[in-house]
Formats: sequence, C-alpha cells, structure tokens
Amino acid sequence: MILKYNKTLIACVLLLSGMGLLALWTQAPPTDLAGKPLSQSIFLKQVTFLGLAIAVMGLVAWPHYLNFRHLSFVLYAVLLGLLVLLLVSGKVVNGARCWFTIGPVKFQPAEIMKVALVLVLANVLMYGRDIQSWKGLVVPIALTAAPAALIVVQPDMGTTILLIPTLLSMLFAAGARKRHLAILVAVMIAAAPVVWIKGMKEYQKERIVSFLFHPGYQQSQSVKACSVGTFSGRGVGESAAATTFYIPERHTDFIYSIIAEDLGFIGSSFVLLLISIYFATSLRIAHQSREPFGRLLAVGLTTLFATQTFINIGMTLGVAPITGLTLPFVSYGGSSLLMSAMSAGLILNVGARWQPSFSSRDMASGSVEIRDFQPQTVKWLGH
Amino acid sequence: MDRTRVTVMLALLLVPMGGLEARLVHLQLLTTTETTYDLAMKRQSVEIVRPKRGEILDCKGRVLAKDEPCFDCYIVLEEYEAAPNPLASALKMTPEEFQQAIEGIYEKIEKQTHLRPQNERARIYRRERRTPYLLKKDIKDAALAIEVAPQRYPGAVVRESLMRVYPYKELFCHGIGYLGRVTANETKFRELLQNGYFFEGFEELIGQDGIAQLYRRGAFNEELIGVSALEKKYDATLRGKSGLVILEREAHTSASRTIEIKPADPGTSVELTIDIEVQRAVEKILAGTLLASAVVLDATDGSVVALVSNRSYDPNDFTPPGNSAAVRSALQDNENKPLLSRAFQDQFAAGSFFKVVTSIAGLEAKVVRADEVLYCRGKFDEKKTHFNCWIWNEFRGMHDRVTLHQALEKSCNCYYYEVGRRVGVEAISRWGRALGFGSPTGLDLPGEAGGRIPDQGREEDAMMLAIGQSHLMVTPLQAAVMMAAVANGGNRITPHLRRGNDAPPVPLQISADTLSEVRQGLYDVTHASSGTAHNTRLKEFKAVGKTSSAQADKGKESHAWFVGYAPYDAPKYVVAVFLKNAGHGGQMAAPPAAQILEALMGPKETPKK
Repeated sequence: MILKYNKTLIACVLLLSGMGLLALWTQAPPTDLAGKPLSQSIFLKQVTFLGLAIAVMGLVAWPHYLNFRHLSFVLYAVLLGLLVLLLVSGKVVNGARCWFTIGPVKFQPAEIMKVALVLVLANVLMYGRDIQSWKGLVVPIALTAAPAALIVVQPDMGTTILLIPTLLSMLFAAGARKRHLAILVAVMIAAAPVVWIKGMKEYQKERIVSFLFHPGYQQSQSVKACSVGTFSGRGVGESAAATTFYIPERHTDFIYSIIAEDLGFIGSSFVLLLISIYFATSLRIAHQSREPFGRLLAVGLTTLFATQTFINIGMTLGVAPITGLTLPFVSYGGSSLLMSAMSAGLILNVGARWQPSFSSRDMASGSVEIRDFQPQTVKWLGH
Repeated sequence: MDRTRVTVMLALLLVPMGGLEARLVHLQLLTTTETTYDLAMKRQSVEIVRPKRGEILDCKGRVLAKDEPCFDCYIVLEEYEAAPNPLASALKMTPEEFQQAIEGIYEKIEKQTHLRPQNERARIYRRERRTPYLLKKDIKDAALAIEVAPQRYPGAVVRESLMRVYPYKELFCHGIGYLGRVTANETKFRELLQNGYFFEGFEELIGQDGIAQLYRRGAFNEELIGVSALEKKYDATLRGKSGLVILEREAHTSASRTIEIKPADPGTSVELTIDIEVQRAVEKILAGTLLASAVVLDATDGSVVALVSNRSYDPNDFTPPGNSAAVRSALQDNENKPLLSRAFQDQFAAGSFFKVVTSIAGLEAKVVRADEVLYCRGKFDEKKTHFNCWIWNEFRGMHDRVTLHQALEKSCNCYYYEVGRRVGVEAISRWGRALGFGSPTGLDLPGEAGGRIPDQGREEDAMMLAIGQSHLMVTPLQAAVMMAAVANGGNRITPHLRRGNDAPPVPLQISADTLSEVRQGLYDVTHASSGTAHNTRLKEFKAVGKTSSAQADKGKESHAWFVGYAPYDAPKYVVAVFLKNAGHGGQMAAPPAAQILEALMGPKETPKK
C-alpha cells in the first residue's frame, strides 16, 4: 500500500529545521578562523542530529500507528524507570539532573517521556470510558502526575508545565465535561501558592519574580536583540559578527532571538506562520481521523508542540518567564530534535491512515470527500 | 465522540499565536529609539573572572601561599590616543617600557584581525581599540591616583585582581613551588577544558564564537597553572573554576557595569603536614658553605615534618607577570642547582647506613646469627686491597672480634663483607627495595628521583653493596623511609606532605628478633663509648641511628650522612641528614641531626652521666 503523507506538515518541519540551521550557522561556523573544519562545531553536530531525526521520523511514520498503542505502556514504564534512575544516579549539570550519559551520547529521558505520555493517555482515553464522570478522570491524571512529579524534582519546571495543557486538551478532545475541566484548572490555580512556598527552588522563584518586576539580564538582552531586528533585520550573521548583545545559551533556548535580530519582523513572522500552519495541519489530521486513538494522539502531540513553542518564543520576546524549554525543530540539541521528529512522525502516520467514512452525518456535513476512493473497492463493497 | 471539539482547540491555539505576532509588531516595528541609543553608546565584552586560588597551609594553619588582591591597569587605546596623558609616569614606567607595552597590545589586535575576512577587519580593529587591554599588573599606589582623577587619565581603567604571594619567601620553596602562565593554543585550551579548569557547561554557555573571541583576545594566555612542586601536584584542587562576566561600558565615559553570568568558584586550600617553624629551624641549622639536605618524617604515618635542601630561590620571583624565564635560566646556570631539592630530587652514594639493610637481609636469611663472632683484621683479603675496613685505611688498625651489634656500632666493613658474601646481591637488593630504595618513595611532589640499586652481580658486588657502595644511589628521603621502617616495627610508610593523604603502612614481615638486634646496634652507635656518633648530643634526645661516610667523588671528601630516629623507646621522628663532600658522618652529620632534634623536641638538660 502506498501511504499518502501530508506534504504540508513535512514542508513545515523541513523549513523550521532549516531556519534553525541558518541561525546556528551564524553563531558557530563549521570552520575555524584559519579555514580548518571544526570537529566540535555545533552546526555540524546539529546537521547530524537532523539526519538522525529525519530517519526517526520516517521510521515512526512507517508501521501502522496502532502498533504503538500496544507499545505505549511498555515505553511509558521504561521511561518512568529511567527518570527514577536519573534521580538516584544522575550527574548534576547546571544544578539539575536531566541527562543520561552513555558513552559519547547524552540524552534527556524527560524529552521522550512527553511523547510516551501522550501515547499512554491516548490509549487510556480512546474508548472514553467514564469520561463524563470524575471516576474516568482519575487514571489519566495519575498517569500524568507520576512523570510530572519525577521531572519537577530534577528540577525541570518547564517540561512539567508542558504536561498540564497536554493532559487537559486530551481530556477535552476525548469528551470530558467542560465543567470538570474548569474545576481542574481552578484547583491547579488554587494550588499554585502552595507550590510556590513548598515546591519551588529559590532560583525558579527568582526567575518568575524577575520576569514580573525586573527582567533578568538574559531576557532583557534577548528582547533588545529582537527589537534591533526591526522590519527587515540586520542581515544574516550580523548578530554574531557584531556581538552587540551577548545572550547566554543563545543557540539553544534563545535561538529565536537570532532569527529576530538577523531577519527582522519578516523572518520572525515567517517562523510564526510556519508554526501556525504546522499545528493547523496536525489538528486537521486529528479532525479527519475516524479512529479515536489516532485523533487523541494528534491532539496531544499538537498541544505539546504548541505549548512549548508559545513558552519558548514568549520568553524570547519577554512575555513569558525563562523556563529552559527549547523551540521544537529550531533549537540546537539532539534530544529536543528527536522528540520533535518523533511527534511529527506520529502525526504524519495518523494522517496517512485516514479512511473515508460513509456515515450519513459526515456526508451531509460535507467534511468528507469521496474523491480519493478507488472504484475497485466500491465494486467489492457493492457485492 | 466530539470531533467539533478539535476545531475549538484550533481556535484556542491561534489566540496566543496572534498574541506573539502582536508582540513582534510592538517590539520590531514600534519601538526602536531606545535600543538604537543602546547600540551606539554601549560596548559589551565577555570576560573571564579568575577564581581565588586555594591557600597552602602548614600543620598549624600558617599560610605558606595565598592569593592577595592587587590592582591592574588596563588601557583603552582609542580613548588614550585621542587624549595622550601622563599615564606612563603615573604608572612609573619609562617611556620605552610604555611604548613596548602599547606595541604589545597592537600586536594582539593585529593577531585578531589578520585572519578575518577583509570586510570585517576594519570593524574588528575599531572594536578592539575600544576594548580595555592589560597594560600593567600590580600598579600599587598609582591605582588611587587614577581612581581619584579619572578625567586626567582618559583610557586608563583600573581593575582589581589577584596575585599569588608566598609570605615565607625562600623557606620550603622546593615543596611549595610556583606558578606560571599557560601558553594558550587551541589544543591546550581543550585540554584545560577537559581537565575541569572551567566550570561545567562553559562551552555551551559561551558558545564557540565566544570562546573564539576570548581566545583571539588572548584571555587564555593569562591562565595560571602550578608549574612545580605542590602548586603543580595539587593544581586541580587549588585552582578553583573561572567565572564569566559581561563588561558593559558606556563609550566616552569610564562608567562601566559588570554583569555576572557565572561566579568564579574559589579553589580549595591544601593543608600540609609540614611545620614551617621546624622547617625554618632546620634550614638555619644547615645553612653554610656545604651543600646539605635533611628530611624529618613522622615515623609512624610518614607525614613529612621538614624537607630541607640548603640552596633555595624565592618563588615570588616567578609570579607572573615577572620575567620568570630570566629568573629560571639564572637559577639553572647556578652550579649549586637551587631549583633542585637534594632531599628527594637528587641521588647520592649511600655508604654505611645501608648496613642496616644488609643486617636485616643477613638475619632474615639466617646466614648470620646476631651473636656470631666474626674477625676483622683490617684487611678482608690480602690480595684485594679495595676490601679494607675503614679503620685499616685510616689508622692501620683492626676491629678484631665483632658481633652484629659491634659491627653496626663501629661500622665495621669486614664484618659486612662477610655477611654480603654469604647472603648475595639478590637478597640485599630485595630487602633494599622493600625498605624503599631503588624507586621513588611515593612522596606527593613531582620529580622525585628513584635512586639506583643493583639487582644482581658477583660475590664482589655483593660485598660492596653490603657496605652501601657499589652502584647504589639513594635520596635522603629514601634513607629516612628505610629508617622509619626500623623505628615503627617493620612497616614501610609512604611519605606525604598533604595532611590526610596517608597511604596505609605496608608491613614488611621483618621478624621481631631481627628488628630488636638491629635497634640494639643503632642504640650503641650513639650511646656506646666506641659508637661512631657517641660524643654528640644525640643521646640527650634518646636518638639512635647510623652514620655514613660514603666515598663518592675521587679526590674529594666523602658524603656525610646520619640517619636515625628518636626517642628510641617510643619512636616519633625519623631524621636523615646529608652533607655533600663533607667528611665523616659522625663528625659532620650527627651534630646537625642533634640540633634538628633539639628544634623538634625542645632543649634538654645536660646529659646524665
């Protein structure tokens, strides 16, 4: 069977990673000053990661996505185990235990956990059992709370925050009552002061306070860099060559500021447009899917992607606190890119298995076209 | 299931997207004035902050090496050249020196621009001329003059920094060592990065471009590392980790603001087992025209209490930016080799104190009994004239009947020729190695000499080795380690300078009888009336030991040694004293050993009897 993958989605992924590479190129040229190639260049590393990521995307998109349904619990359990192991024996980098190091490879289990959680939640919610009552909400909430708790003590507040809208959106798409969801949100807001006093590290509080009252150095530099871009930008590579604004971790968390400074309003709006097209397309795939697991999967992954994007670009533009979240497909980093590619692959997979339906309601609403239908199949059905 | 909910979600997601777009419009299209001002008026540069290096402390907490604050003068060429001012005279530099320093800075700038693409050169050149470069380190009073009236010295920037200071100067210089600059190149930098000289994540934080910029500006040329002795050995501990700051300067005013990105992590102090006052006393005792060295160890755990070699240098002379190359070459040309510690970095002929090893080898191999009487006729063999006892060579005398005790006491060669002949080179060499000779003892200082001990040979070699001659070469430290084993009941200790660095003593399985016989012999050396060191003050301190007069250089006096421990009933200190080409051990080395013990244990009343 020849599968039809959504070309718009693929184009968005490639263009976004291309923008990321462009920004990295300006920050870390692949050759040193004498023109010798740099083996350590993060640009070359990112090109390698991208190659790997595209391969992973293909691999994930190839077998029928329902196969992942059966794997979801195993994957979830393994990653939960890894997160526990990380807390016990992980190495502290920049004050947090986020990384596993296996030989030359470092990876963050929390990144993969995001995708695994969406798979598990889609599996649990697909039949919508008791979804209208509180009873049906207990299991999905517990499944989200376990990794969230493990990730928050790493401490990685950013990733934990991502899991909440993902859970809510999947509950919503699965048909939970709006009243229940509203109560959940209200409880979480009420719990915020408790988390503030008991759960947060000093530096996390500082970040939020400084965001609200006096923006920190990193963020104010980033905002300035973005605004210097004005309409058409300062030109590719200008930000690095002039080093007008020194922004720590510019190539990972603050990569959007490079694009905004170098390519200006046009370039940064183009990235926003690509991102909008990306999640519009993937939500369209969710909408078209007749099969609840696939639909929930697409919804969950899209929310994950969108939330992460909002927070990252928001912090670059000075409208959200610094959380250490990367910009999917664009930021430097293997784990982040791999996670983004896996979720894109899964959405493509769902989109490629779209089956036309013959429900009278769909036919009447016109949301299904039967143009793609094979005549032989119709003939066979007619018998 | 409700598919329309998916459509609702799309709407929900597009709302924040619109918000971000609005923010972009606000930032990029509506606000520009403030930031353009910033662009024109502010200069930023990334700088490395040196960590405070750890102190080196002696056993009582006295500071042997520390980082002290000082003031450095930096210069911004663009501002200085726009308004030339008497900065040179304020800094007490001659016009030539000043000119040289400025040319040095231009060379650095040149280095940065010449590899860049043509179109960037002019811009980088301008940028670097606005960057402060180090002009002079430790400017002392001039700092105040510049700080008080900055308008008189446009372009001068005073910054606080640190300087390594060794308050005790020459004292214990061979142990403390000194610092030097790393000549930075890309590989060296990577090496430093891997060795943890910078904080973790340094590379990620600053980015490759940041590193390249710092590197080009020569920031890594200023990296200081320990070059010798403890400063080198414990460099990783002492050093700490560099931090990063951003320096933001308003152009055309000296107002500046530092933004700390990563604070520097100060180094850890190293506490030593050395007592610097004992060290000072011992150095005073050994001062004189003869080349000498002495080692004082704790007999039970191997802590080094004093480690002296009596030609020294001042490590402060090496502290950058002084001309350390000139200092070093002058010291290297000195015939007394002051850079080298004769206590552990140079090796010498051992002589008679090695008879302790031969005694242990003989008794353990059971080729001789302690009470066995051998005869010394002055000459061991009529035909072989070089196998004479020293008493024959000097007085044409003889020791006659000797047992092991008397042989040690009177240092009889003939007795040991016979023992050596019976036991053989291999057995002596095996015990010699076990007791610490023939390889470095494991002292925590770089460059320790290993000495030399023959492993096999003929009968005649065995006889020569038995009295500590032959090809045997030892360091004073090895002599002390050997004596420590005798003192502490047969345990091989590892000497160490850092407190708490004790390696567990290794039992050598020497029988208690053997040890007590040897100890009795050593007791007689200082206490019996015919002992080689009997008429010294050593017995006041209940010291026992062995003297040595090792024949080394033809036509010169022999090396004088005394290796012993005190007090004999509860051994605490092991002392090894060595004087090069000084003469008899009993006359030359034993008296200073007594003085050292006096410094260690305090003066004693006049000896009884």
